[in-house]
Amino acid sequence: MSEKVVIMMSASHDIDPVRHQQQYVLNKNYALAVTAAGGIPVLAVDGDSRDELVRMSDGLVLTGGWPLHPDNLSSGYYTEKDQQTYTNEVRVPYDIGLYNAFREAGKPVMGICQGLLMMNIAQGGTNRYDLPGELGLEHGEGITHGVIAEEDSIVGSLFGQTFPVNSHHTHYIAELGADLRITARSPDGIIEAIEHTQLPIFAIQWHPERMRGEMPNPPKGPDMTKLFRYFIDSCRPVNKEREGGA
Amino acid sequence: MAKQPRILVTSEHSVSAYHMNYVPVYLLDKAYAHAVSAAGAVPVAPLGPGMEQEYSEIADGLLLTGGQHIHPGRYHTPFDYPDTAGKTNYYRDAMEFDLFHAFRDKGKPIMGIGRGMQLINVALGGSLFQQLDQLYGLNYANGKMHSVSVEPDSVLQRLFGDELKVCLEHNQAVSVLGKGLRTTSHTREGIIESLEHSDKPIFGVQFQVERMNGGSAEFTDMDRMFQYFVQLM
Repeated sequence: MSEKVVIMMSASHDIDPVRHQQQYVLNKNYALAVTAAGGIPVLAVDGDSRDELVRMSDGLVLTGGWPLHPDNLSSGYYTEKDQQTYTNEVRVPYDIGLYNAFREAGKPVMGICQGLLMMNIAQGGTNRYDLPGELGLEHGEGITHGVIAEEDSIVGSLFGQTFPVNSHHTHYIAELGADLRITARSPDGIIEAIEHTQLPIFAIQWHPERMRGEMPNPPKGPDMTKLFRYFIDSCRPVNKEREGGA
Repeated sequence: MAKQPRILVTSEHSVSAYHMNYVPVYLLDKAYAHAVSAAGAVPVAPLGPGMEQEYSEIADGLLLTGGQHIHPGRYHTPFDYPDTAGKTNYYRDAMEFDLFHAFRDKGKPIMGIGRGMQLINVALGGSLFQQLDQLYGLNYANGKMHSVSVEPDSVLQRLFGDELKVCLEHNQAVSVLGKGLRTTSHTREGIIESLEHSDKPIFGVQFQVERMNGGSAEFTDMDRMFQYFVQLM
């Protein structure tokens, strides 16, 4: 049996605009980052089989996605309502179901962007959806901003007390869920990274998979392959409990 | 309860929609995953090249799905119709041919749908007709119903009898048959619609079985084909 770590990846849920087929979608850069850090990524294409998905893998990445429709949270801000309503109906139970199954099994979870928000919902927290409208802050469109990290945190120990990141979100954490702690904030006070206080679970609001490779965003940010390597290393201790497979 | 079989389901390589900035993505119609789940197995999708050994250890079977054309260089032929070059995807070919050989070498079951059946044929040394409409004036790409004659003593005949009503959506088809394969059905015009391996658990169908379920009167219900595939594991 090899030492390979198998990483389950959550998918976006979309509808093909021409063929009207429901689809699972994943940006390749998530898979590339996991592969570059030494993991074997597989896509979760049946959320109802989550116990089996936990059994065949060593950890979970909750990936980013199309913003949730604000009807889940408050009044309308977006126009692509159908897309978002569909995302709400299928993705929230899918992501949260996966998260809870891995958490209960004690296997590591890494959340990225929407993954951070899902993790907060699953832990009983609340999110708000309109950073520009409610607070006059721009955290979308891939802009660069700094973050200020706690020294004793995962991101602080890997990348230092301050470093630049990309930003692709309009939703944000309003009230933090149970058993979570804040490990980084933007200079304007938005929660940018969280960790579970007892379990090997963490999340970041930026896109670390876009902070590596040929065209990193931001161009002079830290190479975040290290963050994926940290996560994959944290998946190794439970590796032996996986049933069968690589 | 016995462990549920795990089936690796390959996906389309594409770029995201305008609102997601046209970045490279993997795409999978949920219909494939649903069909595998309904047959009692757990579907998962592979996410990159160079990991075929690990994937063939994780999973008990391989489902090669439909979609893009296979690059004709894989069967040592130029593009007969250069404007179809954009319908191929080098990375998808590289991943899926490697997966096919890894699963075959381990003796694990392989099922191909549409492009997936063509890939099985090409991987075993066969070739393809590149454009049925331009070569033979056949329109098989419109999603309409066709009658297909099933050959005796085949898996398909045991499951469905001598004739099938299927929905066709292809403009490429098997030309020279790959090594160890036999034809198991064909259309009235003689185009090959399914094949199976003579001594390995490998078979393919040209029609979109993943969307032919739920007992419509219009077409043959294909749930049994997925059940057959899962029972091979």
